[in-house]
Amino acid sequence: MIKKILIANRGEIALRIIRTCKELGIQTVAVHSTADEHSLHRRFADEDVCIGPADSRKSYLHIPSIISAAEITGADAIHPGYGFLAENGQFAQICEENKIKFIGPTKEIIDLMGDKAMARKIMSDAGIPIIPGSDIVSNPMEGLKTAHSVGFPVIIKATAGGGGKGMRVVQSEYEFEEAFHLAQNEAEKAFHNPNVYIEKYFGKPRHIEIQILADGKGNVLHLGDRDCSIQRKHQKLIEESPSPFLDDKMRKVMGDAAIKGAKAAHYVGVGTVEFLVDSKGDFFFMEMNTRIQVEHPVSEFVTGIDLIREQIHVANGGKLKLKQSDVQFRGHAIECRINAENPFKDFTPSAGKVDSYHMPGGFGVRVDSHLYAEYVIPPYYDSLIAKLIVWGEDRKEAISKMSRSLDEFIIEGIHTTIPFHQQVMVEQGFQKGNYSTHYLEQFTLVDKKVDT
Amino acid sequence: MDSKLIESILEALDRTETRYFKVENSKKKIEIVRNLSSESQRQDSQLPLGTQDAIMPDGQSDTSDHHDITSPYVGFFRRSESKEATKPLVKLREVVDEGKIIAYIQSMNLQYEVKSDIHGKILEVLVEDGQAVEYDQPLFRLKALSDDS
Repeated sequence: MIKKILIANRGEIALRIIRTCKELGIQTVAVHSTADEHSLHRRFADEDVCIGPADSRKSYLHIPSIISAAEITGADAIHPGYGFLAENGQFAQICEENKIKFIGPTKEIIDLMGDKAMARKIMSDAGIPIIPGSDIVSNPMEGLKTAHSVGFPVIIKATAGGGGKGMRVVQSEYEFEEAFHLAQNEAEKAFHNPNVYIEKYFGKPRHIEIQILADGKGNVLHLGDRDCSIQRKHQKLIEESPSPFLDDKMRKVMGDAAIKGAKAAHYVGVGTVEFLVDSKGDFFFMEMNTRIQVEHPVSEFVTGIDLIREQIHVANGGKLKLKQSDVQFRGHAIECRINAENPFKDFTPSAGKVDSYHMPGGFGVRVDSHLYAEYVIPPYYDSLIAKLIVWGEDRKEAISKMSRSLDEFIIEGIHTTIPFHQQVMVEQGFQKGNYSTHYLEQFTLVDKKVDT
Repeated sequence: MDSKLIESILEALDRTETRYFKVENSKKKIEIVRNLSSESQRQDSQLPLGTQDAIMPDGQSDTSDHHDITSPYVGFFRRSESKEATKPLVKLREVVDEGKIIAYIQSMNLQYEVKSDIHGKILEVLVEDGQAVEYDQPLFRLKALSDDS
């Protein structure tokens, strides 16, 4: 049984994990860089170890320092959170070699799903629709053949890519060859791997993902869907569950497909199968994320299941206590990611000191954040400073609750994306649930703060 | 003040966990307070009167030329070449050149070197052999020496 967990992360997710550990009576170790000396995860963990300088490559991403911190504190498990080392197969392997339980899937599964072409093949073999396209394409002629067979527009993607990096949309065959070479060069530069593949490009798709929970003993559950279509530069900003686009029939078909995919990959732990859904309602596998995700609280709200608790339970070798029929979905949840960015200046990062801070509250309101008054947001890391998640009986109530919670959320001294979210919540298209991943291209932010 | 005597007392103390040492006769009084805690922030540790002489046999009480060498990694602090070796790489009072290896940090069966980044004299060893240390934790306190000294 796991007795002491080292959290190889920072910010809100480190706190989120510490909270569940405390509830389970598990000891916690926080690791931090010198830039995070005053951060809350350090304060709320039972022990803390400074593992390196501000540069995350020498601290949060530096495997020997993290293993060493586990060694000196006697931690018997590591929770990687999301980002940093969460989907690093080598790290998972090194943990196991050092007799430290990695809370997540094995190196083999992480590597398999991290290789986009391999992941597509596994899902396709399992009978899950994949986006029409190719395997790795080495030359533009071969690529063009694929492009013609699936039809323009197409997108060229790096196999090692993700999060919007290493992608190029091509509208017609005239642009194809040049775009192909550019994509290869970019992939080589960004990921040290020039491999690219071609996919059909959809004009107004939705990004809908299914939360999976598997115990490695043949039991796989899905915990519903999340619509994450509201994005900016492929970064999710607002997530909700259930998706306003899916009916119960589609929801079941996609949930079953995700379970089938997870079983085909011999998946263990919590994971997410991401689908692209076109305007006709056809869905295609995009990728599988082998970590806890930023937006997991919306699924927790509608199912009442603590995903971190389940992750630890499975890591302990535990069998899932629930069956699919036990998972009851109730109401509607929305999450707004509050970033330290200025939405009126093209979302430029806004690090610095939080002069004053007030969190919203009330029934069905949850704030996952590492902020406090006078906290200084360091400029070295992600700009996510808070997640505001609300639950309502239905979508309308959830939106209304989100609006009033955003109005109550006071963060002074820095710029935040709160005004952006306030405006989205009252926008007609969003209120009707009528949006795609290109929502922001049509959305005009009014350059004034909504009255608070 | 007999600095030779004090040096030998300090060296003897360095092999023990003694935190407080006092000896006096009609002519002199030597009082030594050693901070052996693993707390990394030691700058504010208040030393009682009379200690300065003991810690600095040169009779200087100015701390502006004091310099801490901090840990470059997380791991276990080793004062000697290996776990088995007992001879420390550097002794208290020893004058070290810039770049000299003065300790190791052991982590995952790897040894990382701790080098002196100045030319100076070792005034204090702030952590014990085998103790777990964090990144940036002060390990040694040195007195900076000018190059010709």
